[in-house]
Amino acid sequence: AEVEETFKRILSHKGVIGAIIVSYDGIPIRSSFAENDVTVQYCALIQQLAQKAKSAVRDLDPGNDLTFLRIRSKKNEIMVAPSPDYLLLVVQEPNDQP
Amino acid sequence: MSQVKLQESIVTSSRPAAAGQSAANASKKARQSRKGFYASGLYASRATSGVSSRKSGEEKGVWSKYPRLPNDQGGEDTPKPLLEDDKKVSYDTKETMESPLTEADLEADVDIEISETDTIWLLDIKPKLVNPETDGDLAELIKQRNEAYKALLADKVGNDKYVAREMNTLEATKMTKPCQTDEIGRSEFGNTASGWDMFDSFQAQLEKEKADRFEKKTDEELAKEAEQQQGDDPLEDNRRPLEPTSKSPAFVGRQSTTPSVLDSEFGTVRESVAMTAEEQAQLDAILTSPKLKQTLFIIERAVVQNNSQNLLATYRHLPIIELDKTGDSEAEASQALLVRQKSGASLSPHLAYLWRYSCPAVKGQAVTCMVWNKQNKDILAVSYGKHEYEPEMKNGLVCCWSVKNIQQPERVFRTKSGVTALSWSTQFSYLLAAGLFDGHVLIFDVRTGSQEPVFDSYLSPGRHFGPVRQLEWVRKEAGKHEETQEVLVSASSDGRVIQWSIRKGFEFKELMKLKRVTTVLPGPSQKQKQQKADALISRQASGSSMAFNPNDKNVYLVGTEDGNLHKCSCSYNEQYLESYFGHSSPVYSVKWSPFLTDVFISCAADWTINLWQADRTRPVTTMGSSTKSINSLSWSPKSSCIFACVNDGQLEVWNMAHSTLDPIITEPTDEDTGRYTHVLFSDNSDSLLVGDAQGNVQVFKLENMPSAPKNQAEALDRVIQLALKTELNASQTA
Repeated sequence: AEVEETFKRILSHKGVIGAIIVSYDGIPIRSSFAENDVTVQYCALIQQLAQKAKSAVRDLDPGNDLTFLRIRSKKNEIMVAPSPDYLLLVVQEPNDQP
Repeated sequence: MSQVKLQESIVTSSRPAAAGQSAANASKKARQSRKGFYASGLYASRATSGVSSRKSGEEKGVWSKYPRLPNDQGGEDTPKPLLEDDKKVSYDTKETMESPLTEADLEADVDIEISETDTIWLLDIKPKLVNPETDGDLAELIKQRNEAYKALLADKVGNDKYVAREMNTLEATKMTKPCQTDEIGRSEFGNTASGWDMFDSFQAQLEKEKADRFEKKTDEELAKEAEQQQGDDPLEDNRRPLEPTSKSPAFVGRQSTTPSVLDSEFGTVRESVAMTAEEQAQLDAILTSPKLKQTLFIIERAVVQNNSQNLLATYRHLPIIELDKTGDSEAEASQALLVRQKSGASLSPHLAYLWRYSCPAVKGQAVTCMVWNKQNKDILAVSYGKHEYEPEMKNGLVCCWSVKNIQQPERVFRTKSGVTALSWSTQFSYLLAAGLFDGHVLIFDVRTGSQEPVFDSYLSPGRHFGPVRQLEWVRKEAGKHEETQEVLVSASSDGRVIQWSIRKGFEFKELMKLKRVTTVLPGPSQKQKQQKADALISRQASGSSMAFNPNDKNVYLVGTEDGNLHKCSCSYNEQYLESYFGHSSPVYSVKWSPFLTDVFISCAADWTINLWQADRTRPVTTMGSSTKSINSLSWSPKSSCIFACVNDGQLEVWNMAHSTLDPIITEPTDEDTGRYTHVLFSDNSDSLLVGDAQGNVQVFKLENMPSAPKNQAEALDRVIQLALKTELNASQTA
């Protein structure tokens, strides 16, 4: 559907290494990584981190909520969009080319 | 404590008894009420107290501390008191005097009122009341016994006759009896209530209350609220869900007996296990949820922005950050930008190419119109279609592009025929009006992105019969009863200017029928020309452009295909206020100056651009630099003397303060971009957008532009005066 289309489009952008949609149980629904263990590793680690971040944001101000989380490292950037039902994460290699 | 030590009270006369106020009151009452019948009272009291003192002696102190006797069933087994409780306790402490008892007192009845607080009755032997009158002997007997007892009490202490001795009782044999029950299930449950957990639950309550109130609101209030809540980005789904972050511990914090971490680790195991149909359905539901669409939308923006970081920074006038990672050899554009910034190479104004909006869907279609959203200056609506009639009518397109995503349009609307005009509403920043080549006017709501327009003129009897050339939303001063509403005005090639109102349905009101006016041109052959002009094919002129005066919303300019410009007013629909003659071919664009209220500029197919002042029917000055028809025109929002125009072959930026003979920047088009069709300045950045016949919209950054003059109006005025002067001189010398 439209979701699939957008998902594929994101993967086709420059620098994108992969993207995963994880359900609330921690099950990856859609993953673009070929190796399963990479997928699962990302799921588990990022989920924990997103939980911590969300907890921090909300403890500071209960009226606030985490909408987006970006982790920029030397080699790549992980963008996480958490949600009550699912978690979407995209790994990209940042470059400044159009 | 109702047990009154009347004995003592009588003995101690006026002083209240030590034990409890109720006792004192009772005794006082006894005294008060008919001053007691001394002897009989005494007897009575003795009678009572005789019995009671025994009780009180043993258990007086204990009563206060003794617990109640609760029943098995939870009731109370404390034996009820015999005497009626008088819960009221009166606290008269006034009467302390004791008047001498007389014979009459002895005869009088004694009322004893006893009030009681909590009492445990362990033993209740009915006191025998003996009236000394009737049973004198018995009374005497009792009296003696009382005396004897008193003596006994006194003797008891230290008397050998009485020995304290313990007694042993038989111990009842005990027997243990085992019994079996079902296992009492135990489970441990731990939960941490963080600050936001509590907030969530309160919020849920609040929402519920709101929902109840919501139903009672009237429609007007709702509409007002809706208007106030216009978000920043109409393209982002602004209907913030009123649902609380439900599933109370949110997704990333699901608490159960086992921590969620384990769940995710078990993810591997669960994968291999076949999923039940339910779970699968649940997961599918996630995939199709609109929230996921929204999230993907946002993430796509983030991904693209990462890639085009430098370009966007330039667009927004931010410094470009160099990343440690060196790009590939393809990093030409951004490197070129960097180099330019650093060296500041060329000093003359020029354009730097940033990016182009293009996607496969729009390839091959000409850009006919570009407009920025009135509220969010990052959103651009572009319409695609054809200006000229073609045998095969292609479908038209309207795309909403955003600066935040330069690779993909965020909204795409398809129409049955080419779109020739666009306009964003000011009142409702999410309404986009599109005028089509077949004369229809559609209004789209970009929030939802649905392909169906919210309004369309398909059924309206007043629709246009020719291509809609220009659309504009105008805030109108309505009548006394109505507030200012916004109406849509469309000008079309069929010679009519129609005002559309969206308040109730899509209503139309014809503002103007464009009549052909004879062109009054100076010259010797004037008269001849006039006679020739009388033979007209049709009395209707075709409108090809329109512009509302930004200061006076009732006045607007219409450019016709004859080349004439007319100033019209909404109040008159027959007459023109003024006519301007200067062009000899269709006027493609007319724009008022954002700085001077009565100056406007027009461009036409006759290769010229004319600058006009509202009260002069002849142009102030004429500019032109090429032999191509000029398709579009745009004033610079920052500088009053600068405007940009496009003709078939190139893009030109003019600075009238500098020169009215040549543009300051020219940018020729190349083969793959085709001819330029539309130009637009950007309001929030020094950039220029150009649309071409191949469906691309290129974004250029203006560099090294002359800074805006301090007094914009004055600067433009100076230009005009200068031009007028030269014209005057020219006509004088000629």
